[in-house]
Amino acid sequence: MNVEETKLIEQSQLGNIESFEKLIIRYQDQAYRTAYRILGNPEDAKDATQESFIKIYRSLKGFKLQSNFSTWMYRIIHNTCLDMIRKRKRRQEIPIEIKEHQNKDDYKIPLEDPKDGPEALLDYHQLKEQVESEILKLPVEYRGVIILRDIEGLSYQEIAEALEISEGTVKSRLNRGRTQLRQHLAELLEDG
Amino acid sequence: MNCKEFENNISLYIDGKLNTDTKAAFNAHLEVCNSCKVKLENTKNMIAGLQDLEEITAPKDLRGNIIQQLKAEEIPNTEKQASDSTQKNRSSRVFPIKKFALVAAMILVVASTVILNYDFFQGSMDEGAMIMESADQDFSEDAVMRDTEEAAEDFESEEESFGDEEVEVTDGGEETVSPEQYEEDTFGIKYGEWIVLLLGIGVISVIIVLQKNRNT
Repeated sequence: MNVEETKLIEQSQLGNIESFEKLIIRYQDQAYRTAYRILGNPEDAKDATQESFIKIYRSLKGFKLQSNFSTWMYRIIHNTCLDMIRKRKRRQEIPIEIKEHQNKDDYKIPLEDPKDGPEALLDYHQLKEQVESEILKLPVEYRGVIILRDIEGLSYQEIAEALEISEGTVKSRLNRGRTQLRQHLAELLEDG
Repeated sequence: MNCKEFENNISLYIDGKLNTDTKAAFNAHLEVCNSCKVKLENTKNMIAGLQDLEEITAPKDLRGNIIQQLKAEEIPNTEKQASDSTQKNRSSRVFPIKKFALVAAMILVVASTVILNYDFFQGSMDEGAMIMESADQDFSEDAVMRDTEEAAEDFESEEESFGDEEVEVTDGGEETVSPEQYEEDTFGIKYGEWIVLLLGIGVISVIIVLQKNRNT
């Protein structure tokens, strides 16, 4: 976190809305993009992002300046999106299974066995066209880590802090999520 | 390393998280297994596709909506703060009187206690002095007899003086009261102590009335 950003946060903590507005300008694209990729539609993503920044402003006084603001922001965005998914209980354009569990670290997802037989080499452009829609088919726990790692570029440690899980769980979910996504794409493109 | 283990390590390999030994085993399997090689390539292309997704930006009115909502929430909070401040000022005007009354009541109670205990203590001191003196007395048989005779003489002289006092009482139009009798009132409490006690009760009553008025 640079000096300028620290000052903006300090001023915002004192109730300076103009300073907080500058923080919004800095982070609104990242926040909205993440919400959009998790939720799958622009209206929900806008609501989730607005709600998240309101929460951020209200709880700014508890934010420690030594912490990473963007990691904290991602945490709030992710949790707000999960709350929205649970509350609305709506079906996405593409059906998504939402699995709720108490302890994220204890959540066990059965590892899918690799497909028998060789997988066809997939064309990059074909992959790129389909991946945006296929990612919404993943369980939300896999979706979150893939979005934060492969789209937002967070490190394993930052993802662990943002999602409040262990780094081991990040590794595990990332590997399983990518494997599942790749297999879906392979089936889709081979059939198509 | 078999194919299942290879697939479990694809993600860590791409992110550079494998240790030296596991990476060596991974590479060794990669050399000999074409199926796993394809899986690795497909995973890399998939991640590249994710990283190259169309750039998404926040809607233009997002920031304005957030600020508008925050400002709207701030106004009731400002009014609430002003109300809290007025209440605090009000209570601060009343509070000194109450505090003063409480302190005054405590001083009076303490003073009463000191006065009562002082008299008692003084009395105890006198008794103690008498005890000390008597402790020094000679308790030999002769001394006891001597004391008894002296006591009898004193008794006779007291009877005579008592008679004098009686005459004084019947002759005089006015009643004269001894200093000891003058200081005592009913229940054995002295006048001075009564005053202190009544003042204390009065102050406490004032506090109670002030408290009631504040609540209403």
